[in-house]
Amino acid sequence: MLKNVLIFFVMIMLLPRPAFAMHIMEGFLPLKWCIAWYLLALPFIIVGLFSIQKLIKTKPRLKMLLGFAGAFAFVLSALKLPSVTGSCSHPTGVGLGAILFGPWVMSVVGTIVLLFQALLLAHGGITTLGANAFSMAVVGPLISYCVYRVAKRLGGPQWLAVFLAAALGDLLTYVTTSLQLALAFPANPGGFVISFVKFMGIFAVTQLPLAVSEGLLTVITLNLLSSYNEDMLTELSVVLKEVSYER
Amino acid sequence: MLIDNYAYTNKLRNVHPGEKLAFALITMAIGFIPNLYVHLVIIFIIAVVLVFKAGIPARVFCKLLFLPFSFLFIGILTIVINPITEGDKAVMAFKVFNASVGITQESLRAGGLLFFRTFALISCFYFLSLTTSVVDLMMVLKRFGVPAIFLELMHLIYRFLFVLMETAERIYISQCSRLGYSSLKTSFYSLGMLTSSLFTKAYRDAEMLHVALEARGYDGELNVLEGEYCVSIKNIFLIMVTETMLLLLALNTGGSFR
Repeated sequence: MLKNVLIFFVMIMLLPRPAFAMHIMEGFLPLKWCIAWYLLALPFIIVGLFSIQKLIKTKPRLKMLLGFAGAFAFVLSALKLPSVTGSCSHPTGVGLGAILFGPWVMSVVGTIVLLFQALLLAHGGITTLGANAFSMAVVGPLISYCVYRVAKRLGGPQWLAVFLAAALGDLLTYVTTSLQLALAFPANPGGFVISFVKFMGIFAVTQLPLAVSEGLLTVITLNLLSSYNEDMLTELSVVLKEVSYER
Repeated sequence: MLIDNYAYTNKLRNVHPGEKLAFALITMAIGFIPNLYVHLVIIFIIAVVLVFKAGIPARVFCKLLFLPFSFLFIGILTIVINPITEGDKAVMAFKVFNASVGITQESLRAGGLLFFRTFALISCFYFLSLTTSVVDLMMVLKRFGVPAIFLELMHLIYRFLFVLMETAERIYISQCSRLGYSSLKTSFYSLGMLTSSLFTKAYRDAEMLHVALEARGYDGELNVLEGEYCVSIKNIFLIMVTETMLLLLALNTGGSFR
């Protein structure tokens, strides 16, 4: 039994990882779920738009910065992430963005980035944009931001907070994607629960090493950023504070 | 980027973007009706329009169609394989631990239909992204009343994306040539350096852009010229005829195999 489980686990780890596994592709979701996820993502985007509007009114140059942040996230998602298991995937940049800019701003910028990924790279699609935006631009950043804040408040070291934020944000993005797929395709005998287990096995458990990779990368990136560009980060954290006041 | 190149150079670039968007979206909506024949006809129509009207090489379209194949394959496999009980007629069954899982005729049918629907919708989507540039699309979105700040951010991100992409590529090449990605440990460090310096560059560029704009009288609004397009009655008529035929086909043939 134990041997079976081990073999199963190793097999899952060795499975070739599809690139951009977490983008639900165009046409995969039924119509009613496409609309439902659009409606669920919309309020977050609207709140994000209001908070950006307020920010820009006080500091107009932030608009350029947000533009560059979005382009940065897009480029980041096109890079290859080294993974412990040898397969390759791509960083999502969800954790980094949420730590640097806050979750509300990320909901808007993330949605735009997802739209461009669909239009320019054919990853994702327009009917599934709502679902992808909900998992990657809303849930991921929110989790990352909350984890980061809680870890800092509990007195954890900076690197641990960053690592947990990025890794958990990444992982929960995949869990949300599995949830979306399971809701749309409940298993015939067994229904939603069985289906959720299946999709979790394929799309979330296999991404565990990738979440760790993303966490490591985010720690390294933020360490380098803070050692070379201390004043830039302090300036950004001022921005971040304003975002949290504005809420 | 490949898709973007075709969006600016295809033969349908002078057609009003609203017409192209309407065609893609209405066809997508019809594609949601579970009917195998409709899916196949949609793929065929889009392929013909793209290859013969827009002048996209057939090879490119085929390559793009199979780009997200791995997701589709794994996704459909996950849906098709279900736990089965003794009484079920299974096409294929095997044992994992103590439960038996397998593929039933019914799940195979659902999976197959999903497979073709995905292909039908993704070809509609490629029609849009291969014939309409992002700038044109934003023009239509503006008419639909998408908030100005959202569109401005889209504009900025779209413009900066290419600048940063090129920088990242250059950094990556120079890191590779210095054996930056030779082992796992160095890969992590190199990628960390790449992202952090990319971020720094993005930040500096944003700063400089703002200074440059302010020096030229920027007051918080970026105005760009829109392309001029005229609505063609002929195209609208053709789109309406095609969609009506598709809808009739969808409702009158029992392609869902229920």
